[in-house]
Amino acid sequence: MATIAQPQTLTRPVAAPATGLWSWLTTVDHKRIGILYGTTAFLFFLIGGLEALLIRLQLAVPDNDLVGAQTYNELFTMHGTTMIFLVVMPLNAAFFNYLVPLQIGARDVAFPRLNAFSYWTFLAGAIILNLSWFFATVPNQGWYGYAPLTENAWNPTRAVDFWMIGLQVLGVSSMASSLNFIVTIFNMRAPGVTMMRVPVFSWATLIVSILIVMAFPAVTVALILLSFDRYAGTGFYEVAAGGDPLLWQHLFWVFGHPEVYILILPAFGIVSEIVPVFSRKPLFGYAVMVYALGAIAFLGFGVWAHHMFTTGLGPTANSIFAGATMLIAIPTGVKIFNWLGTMFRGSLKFTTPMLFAVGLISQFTIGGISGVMHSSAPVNTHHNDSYFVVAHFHYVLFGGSMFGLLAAMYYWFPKIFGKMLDDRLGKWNFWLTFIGFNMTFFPMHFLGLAGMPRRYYTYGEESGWTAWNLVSTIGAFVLGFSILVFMYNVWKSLRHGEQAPDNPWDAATLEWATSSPPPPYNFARIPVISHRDPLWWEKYGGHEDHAQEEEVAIEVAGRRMGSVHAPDEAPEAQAMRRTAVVSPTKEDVEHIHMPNPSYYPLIVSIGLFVAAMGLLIDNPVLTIGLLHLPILVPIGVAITLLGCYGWAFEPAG
Amino acid sequence: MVERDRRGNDLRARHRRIIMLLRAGTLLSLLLMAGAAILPRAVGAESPYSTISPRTEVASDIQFLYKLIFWMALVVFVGVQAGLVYTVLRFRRRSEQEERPEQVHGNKTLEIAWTILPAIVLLVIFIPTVQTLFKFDAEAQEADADYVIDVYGKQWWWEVHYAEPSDQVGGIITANEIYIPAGKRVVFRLYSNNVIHSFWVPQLSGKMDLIPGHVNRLGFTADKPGVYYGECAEFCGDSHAWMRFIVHVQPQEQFDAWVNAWKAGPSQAAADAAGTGDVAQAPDAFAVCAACHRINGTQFNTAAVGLEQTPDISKIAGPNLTLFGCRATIGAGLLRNTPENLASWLRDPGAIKPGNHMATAIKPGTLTEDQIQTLVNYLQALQPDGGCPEPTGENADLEPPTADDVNIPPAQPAESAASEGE
Amino acid sequence: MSTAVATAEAHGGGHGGGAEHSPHPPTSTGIDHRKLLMWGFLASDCMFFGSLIATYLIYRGRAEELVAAGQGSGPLPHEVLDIPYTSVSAFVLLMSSLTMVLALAAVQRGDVRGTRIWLFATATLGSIFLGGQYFEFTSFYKEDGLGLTTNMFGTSFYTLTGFHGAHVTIGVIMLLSLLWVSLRGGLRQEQAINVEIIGLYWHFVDIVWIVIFTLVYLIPYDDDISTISEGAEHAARLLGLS
Ligand code: HEA
Ligand code: HEA
Ligand code: HEC
Ligand code: CUA
Ligand SMILES: [Cu+2]
Repeated sequence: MATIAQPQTLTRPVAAPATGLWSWLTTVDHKRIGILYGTTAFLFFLIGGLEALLIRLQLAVPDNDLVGAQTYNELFTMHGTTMIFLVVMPLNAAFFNYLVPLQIGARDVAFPRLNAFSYWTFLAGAIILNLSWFFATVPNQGWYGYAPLTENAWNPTRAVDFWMIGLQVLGVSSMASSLNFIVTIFNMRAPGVTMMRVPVFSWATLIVSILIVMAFPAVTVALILLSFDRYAGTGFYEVAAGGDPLLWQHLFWVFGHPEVYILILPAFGIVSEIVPVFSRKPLFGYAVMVYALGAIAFLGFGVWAHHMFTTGLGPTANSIFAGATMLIAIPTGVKIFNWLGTMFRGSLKFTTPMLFAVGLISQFTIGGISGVMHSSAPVNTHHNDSYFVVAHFHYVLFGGSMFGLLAAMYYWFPKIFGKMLDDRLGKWNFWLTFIGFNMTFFPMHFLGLAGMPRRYYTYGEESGWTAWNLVSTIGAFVLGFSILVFMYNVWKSLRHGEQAPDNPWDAATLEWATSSPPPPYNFARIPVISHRDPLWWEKYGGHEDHAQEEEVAIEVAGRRMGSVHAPDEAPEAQAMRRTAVVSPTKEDVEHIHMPNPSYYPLIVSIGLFVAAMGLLIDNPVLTIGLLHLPILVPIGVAITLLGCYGWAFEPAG
Repeated sequence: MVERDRRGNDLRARHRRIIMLLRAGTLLSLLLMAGAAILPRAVGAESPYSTISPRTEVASDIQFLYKLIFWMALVVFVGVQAGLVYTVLRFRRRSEQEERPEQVHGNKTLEIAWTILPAIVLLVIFIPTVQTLFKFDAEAQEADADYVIDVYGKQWWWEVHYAEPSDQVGGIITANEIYIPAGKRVVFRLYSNNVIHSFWVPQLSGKMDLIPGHVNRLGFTADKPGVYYGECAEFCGDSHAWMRFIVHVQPQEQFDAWVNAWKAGPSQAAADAAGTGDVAQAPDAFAVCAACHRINGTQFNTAAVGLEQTPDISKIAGPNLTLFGCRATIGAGLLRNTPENLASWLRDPGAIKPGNHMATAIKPGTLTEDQIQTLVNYLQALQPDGGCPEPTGENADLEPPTADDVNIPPAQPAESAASEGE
Repeated sequence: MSTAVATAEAHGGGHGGGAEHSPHPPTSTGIDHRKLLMWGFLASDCMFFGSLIATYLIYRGRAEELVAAGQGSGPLPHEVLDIPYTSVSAFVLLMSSLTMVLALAAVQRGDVRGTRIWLFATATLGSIFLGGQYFEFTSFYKEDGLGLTTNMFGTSFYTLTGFHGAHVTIGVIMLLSLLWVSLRGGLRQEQAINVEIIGLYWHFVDIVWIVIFTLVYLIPYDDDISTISEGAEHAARLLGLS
């Protein structure tokens, strides 16, 4: 960017952003909320990773009694739940929050306070789940909590309740933030940002948000029924009462399978941003990439029973679900090949983000292929609940989601913190991760083929699983070390890193048109764009061979842009005009109205937290004798209602 | 002056890259060959739980399908990775390179091609998938099955009731070790009255879940006599890892002999060992056990068989101990069945097996060392006249994959052993 | 809008998150933020009720089966459900959709009095429905002995209709809040969007009731049909749930 934005007075930072704890507690700035999401989720990644390391230590040698069976069960339950709900989803949310408004040329999300509420509620849910460690009733039923192991008869302590209620609170958070992003992306695109010019990462955000909105209700209902069983004595999943444990599985996986695409599609979006930049070529088949995202999401709703191939649904149902599952390989393949197409004949530069992005293409494919192996139902009767599945989902989750997220961290770090991450350390980080990852999870394919079931806290020597387990454990520590390298890199760069330019990678999307880090209002003037990859268009001009980009629709419903002639403008003219976007005059900035900080979202979340804890704490002092009502529940509800009231009548600013 | 081709690329750099590619290719193929050579061993084909050493037609069908998909997958894998490696090596940006590559936005033909090609691959996988599914379903039909066996998943062991043909095997109840005849189609009906389990003998068949309120069926014909190891594959609580079992596939005559032995009950030797002298008489010390365990042919034959739907009863009912002396393991695969291990089991079942429901009644000190010795002698002697069936055939020489080193409680000092309960 | 681009942009209109600024912030789609939010929420709520209704259908007839097998206890649906009674309250709820439409029309043409009347009418009809449900529940509980845990019918019936009732309750509260705002003089023509959004919710809750009423009350609980139709029965069997 630096090259174009030369002339005119540069007065930034115009208004110094507020600092201090209170400013963080009351912030409604999507960028700060993004940072909050990111740091919190990373913290939980360390916790989830520590749990994983304990799992691996326990399995390193046969007949190990480092942790007992009970603790082991708690470890894998919390590890799975943490990684999925407290790590990958909120890390995705961190980037959604930070980037989407910037990418579509907006000043914030549609509902800034709702956004803050989403974060605080996520934090509340995360704390609830992990408080179980302090109450010594840690969830121990596995991350998909099959009934009836979750019923009182088989799990009488509060363990399941911590999980059940924690997830419910997290669901509220995800739902709120997803609705927010749907509205933001549909409604707050800057003039000229038509849907087919929305960067693929923001597209992924939109589709993931729709997935969340449509998939979470199923698990919400599943959990409500479970809480009725546990708290009110109904028998939704109890055979004796006429219930059916399979109902849980259906409801859970109707959510659970779309959930895995909720976890991976943002990473696909990230790769679609990074690969073009470091190939110096536009994304190959933008439109198809967008349709493929949609197709994966859509198909994802029709395949849930592939998690239930061994439950005896019968050959007809199994055939249908096997076929539907296999179909998903097609749009996913399209994405893989289109990334290759983007790189092909490009001018590839292997910075750390690019390494992780290419790593994803390579490693996710392995996980995807083992997914297709599972999808053949007869073969699945061997793979199901064995380490082959554990290998599969770590290849897609770590080799996919986490690689994507690490790429994103390296790629957007300069934008977010204004400092470059060290590329040499980054390369160490990448190769250690790559090696550690494969060393940890590739042997699990072999263990699965050798018949090792998952969730076994130990095994005997004669099972023949010893060697690969040891290799895997060593790999996990290499992986852990690579995360330490990452943390060192972040620390070092924040302390001594070189100042990042606005657009260090010569990237094409709007977030790189602002300063690094961006001012609270993002853009002094809302940019008007006429092309996909606007910064490249500006800098390098267009090409004759992509006519579809020439036609421009500035008249966006509800906001007529009058005499804007963006389509006809030469790149230079556009650049001149947008200079004002980045280098505002004092006058520009004085006209910007940003939403006021608010503590009501925090209060509402605290209310939810208190109410939820009321259901979990079995302290007689905290329950009203007569009604057997945990007294914290009404207190929490009251706090929530008060918060809502204040929220509703607080001027938005 | 560097040589350049028509498009101005540096020729020498290009040759270097080609040579690099060749080297990488050679290295890769060497690695692949080495890999192929050690692969079967590496992937654990020798494990008693191996999924890739099938011993029945059903398991071979899965193996066939798996191999088909594996090779397809390998082609996809190699294709994608080779394409990636080639692109990465070939199109690296040279630091001096300033000009931007041609700005290509897509290619319809290519994109259609790489939509259709995977579709074809998937069709090739899908068709045999469906065929195999229906074949397995037919294999699990009760009609015309040679034997039907009801298996009840418990926390954390297996109760086995022989059902059909009822005139031959009906009424036989055993636990954790299932005897079946070779060459006969056996259908297992799978039940649970507690949580979900999954019945899996990898060398014989894929797995099938035992779900409360549902009856699932699994069928196969095991042609090769042998000892096959099974395991619970669905997480079912604390001791999920120690819910193993053994399927003894025996020639028909041996199987019939086992059936007769079971019906005849324990031998005189057992009675002698226990000091009761009477086959129909178990030692008095067994009285406390009789709340949960049955031994056919003795007075202790009344414990619930644990099929009740109420959780409380289904938790405490224990394995039928008739012919227990022939079991290879104690505690569903946890320990080898040796006198020392059995004594430890009786001293403190809770310490040995996490969550063990037997520990609700038998705690350290519940039994005196004397009682333990009597019970060990007696239980070990619960064998048919003429001894237990010898393992033959496949895996006969394998040691059962038990835990060798669990924390086994020491013998109680005499004084504390006397103190009642806890 | 001004023709001078620069100023138009500098003000940034609704792009500063100032959705609450003006009644019709300029948006890319032309749809108000909050209206779009409500549409999204209702899509989600479709799945929510879809899951609850599916649960009900799967367990529809379970109680009968258990009783027939001598394992369960009544009361059974045909013994307690009072179709004429519930038809009346269903009709009341339907009518409230009509008054909701009238309330919206009134506020859109600036008719303050009409707005208040129709909002009040809608809230009242909604409350009558809730009252009807309250009496229905208490009579089932007291007279027929059908509790939440009595049998699978009670369990699934109260859960489904109860969650619908909770939705209606929230709707009534929102309507009353609108009425309150209007009485304080805050609900002008320009704010018609607020009525429209809550109207969307209200109509949705109504439509859901039509579905529930049909599935729970109208379609007979035939002894040998455990699910509502052959198709549903096949689907349930396919999924191992029949
Ligand atoms: C990021 C998360 C993620 C993703 C993206 C996927 C993607 C896929 N998954 Fe995975 N899956 C999980 C996370 C994920 N999964 C988890 C967590 C579990 C376990 C849950 C639990 O039990 O705890 C699981 C379990 C699971 C099962 C159940 C296994 C069992 O427990 O028995 C199955 C069965 O079909 C399956 C299949 C697939 C398929 C077919 C895909 C496809 O989407 C993959 C498509 C991609 C490719 C195929 C690669 C690229 C394509 C090409 C290069 C084109 C050419 C390819 C071919 C022609 C093959 N998955
Ligand atoms: C995004 C999701 C995600 C991620 C990233 C991971 C990451 C890892 N997982 Fe995860 N895993 C799941 C999701 C995930 N997992 C799920 C859903 C399950 C199923 C749960 C269930 O069955 O219910 C599961 C189950 C599971 C099992 C199977 C347990 C069983 O069935 O018995 C194992 C076993 O090895 C395992 C290992 C690991 C390891 C070693 C990592 C590593 O990648 C972790 C790397 C991170 C670190 C190592 C921590 C970071 C560094 C530090 C804390 C600093 C200190 C470190 C050192 C000094 C070395 N996981
Ligand atoms: C409260 C019920 C209960 C009582 C009393 C009880 N057991 Fe058990 N027993 C069980 C259960 C349940 C198991 C299965 C445990 C498992 O494998 O998870 C078991 C397992 C066993 C086994 C291993 C069986 C096998 O096939 O692996 C033996 C041997 C045994 N008990 C002997 C005894 C003896 C001897 C006594 C009396 C001193 C006794 N039990 C008392 C419930 C009981
Ligand atoms: Cu039984 Cu696991
Ligand atoms: Cu899935």
